[in-house]
Amino acid sequence: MSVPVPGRAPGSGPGAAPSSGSGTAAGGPAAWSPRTLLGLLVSELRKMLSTSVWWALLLPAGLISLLVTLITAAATGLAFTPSLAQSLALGSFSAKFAVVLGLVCATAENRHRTLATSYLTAPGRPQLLLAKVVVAALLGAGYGLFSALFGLLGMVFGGGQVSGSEFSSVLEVSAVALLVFALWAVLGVGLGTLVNNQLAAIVGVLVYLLLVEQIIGGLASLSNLGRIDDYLPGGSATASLTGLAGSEPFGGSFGGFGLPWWLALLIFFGYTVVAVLAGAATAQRRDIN
Amino acid sequence: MNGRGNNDGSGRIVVRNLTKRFGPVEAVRDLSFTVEPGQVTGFLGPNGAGKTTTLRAALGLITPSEGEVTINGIRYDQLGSPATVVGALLDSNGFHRSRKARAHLRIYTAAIGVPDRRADEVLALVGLSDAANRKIGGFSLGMRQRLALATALLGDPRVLILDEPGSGLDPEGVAWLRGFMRSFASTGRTVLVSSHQLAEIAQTVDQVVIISQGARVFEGRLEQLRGDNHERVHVRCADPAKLATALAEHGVTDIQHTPDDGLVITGAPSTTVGDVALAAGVAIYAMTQERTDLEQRFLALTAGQYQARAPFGPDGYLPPPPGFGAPGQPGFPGPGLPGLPAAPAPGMPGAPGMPGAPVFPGQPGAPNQEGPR
Repeated sequence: MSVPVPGRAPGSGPGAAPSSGSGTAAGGPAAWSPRTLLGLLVSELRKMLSTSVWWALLLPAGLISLLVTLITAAATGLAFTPSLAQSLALGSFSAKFAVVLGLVCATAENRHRTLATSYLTAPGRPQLLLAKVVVAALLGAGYGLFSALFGLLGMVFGGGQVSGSEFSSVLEVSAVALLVFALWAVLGVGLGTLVNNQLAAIVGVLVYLLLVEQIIGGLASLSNLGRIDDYLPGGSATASLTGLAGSEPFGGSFGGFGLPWWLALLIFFGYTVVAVLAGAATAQRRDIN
Repeated sequence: MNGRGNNDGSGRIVVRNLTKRFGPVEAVRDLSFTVEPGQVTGFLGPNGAGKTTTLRAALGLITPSEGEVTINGIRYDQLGSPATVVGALLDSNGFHRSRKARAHLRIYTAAIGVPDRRADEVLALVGLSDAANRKIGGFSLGMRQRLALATALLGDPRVLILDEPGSGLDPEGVAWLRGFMRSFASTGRTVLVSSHQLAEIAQTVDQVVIISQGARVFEGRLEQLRGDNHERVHVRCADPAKLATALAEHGVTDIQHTPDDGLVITGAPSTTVGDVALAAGVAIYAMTQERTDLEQRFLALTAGQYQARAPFGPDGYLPPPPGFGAPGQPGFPGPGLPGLPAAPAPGMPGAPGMPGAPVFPGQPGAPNQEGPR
């Protein structure tokens, strides 16, 4: 093993002038400068892309979307319109991978004990969270695009007939899905920052989405409460896609849609903002031991 | 506290009345010390003494319950571009195991805002160039320690904070690290290095801060700790008073009477004591010579961390009783060398009022390279 002479970094002689960053008092403007934020963004992007998690979650997201639209297109008995099939494939299935991506993005740092280094190299914790939010949104939108394309592919493989007006409806659903997926990933970052423990965060969120909300929705549909599950995080995200599809699953047996798609999307956006703010507030106070 | 002061670029770390409680546990108690640039400062204490808590508070990772730590005169979170001012090695496991070494470093070159080639520079600096494209999961502890150091150096910082950097390094690595810290400090930069083993850093540090149970028990130059590093001779004899008188005539005045009719003589070797006793006609029953070296000083200072009762008899190395060997005593030999504060009684951490307690932060005469504050 070669042991190099204890070296000196170039450009810093004895009693070198204070390094860059000095001169800007108290965190100063440099702490929020575009250059700083862009650097953090690249850093977060490299974090996500230098491990296998991004494609390990992306592939199943696309495949499950393909599978759902393929089955609904092939099984004519279900009588789903293509846009509804797409909205269910994306909203109820693939989107779960986007939230897990967001959760991993935030909690991997705690799990692999890199959080201290990340905090030490960022001007502040809010900036780091902001970078994570933006990267998660970008990757989430990518997940949405990928899943939407695979959904279309499933329809084609299933031999579905997508007529002109239906096709534009499918495109609308797919376009909004990019936004919904981005929000899911950001929501994951917020919740992951809040909880910090990776296993607890992922299990907790999935149990809530796949179990708790389903039970609430099921009970609500049997009662006279209407579609209150559209106001819940998972329900509002799904409703913002199914609301666009313009027709009802199973011939409207669940009763009328409670919310227009844009209102559902707005509600989901609200949940996302709350999750991120809660995460930011918690992270700011958390001791990193 | 410090408000929005200016970055003074001094490279000085100031810990001011730092207290940190975790629930009912007080990890650090009213701790104050100063780390000057241009030298290596050792931060010593047994495991659990509060070293890591203090260092993490300095780095803004832990919010102090009271007090504050400033670097360059401001808090870490006010530094703006902190990694270009302070580099820190805290955790040899702070890596994603499936990342490659270079990929790990390039995450942080981007975050800090230094060119990506800096990653290869620091890899070469710590001798990991060959491992740049290997996954960190396959690294030995020593290699991870080097990579952690490389990460700390990415921003070409002026202050280096190292938490137990020697653990896991082989002897060659330890020697290399010593040289590295020395050369880093010799360029006028600051090194604060923690350890629970005095021997590990004794050859490297100029200044030491020793804490025990979250409170400071010593701050000063290493020579001060070594100060009265000389023999103590414990004698049991027929006539202690006569021997003491005879010794005093020989100029040996630092003599203590012990409860068991013995004498403890400091500042004279056992041969002298024996000769004097023979000349005075005092029969000697037993004579033991003790060397108080650095390690024993350290142990004495930090004793009580676990309220353990040392299995030593009255002749052994218990913490010196009050007054024994304390500085400023008449006849205290080591000329010009301030001695050691007596070990504080439990519950008297830091004992700021102790006679001869060495250099306090901000006190005139704080060693070396004192610039205008």
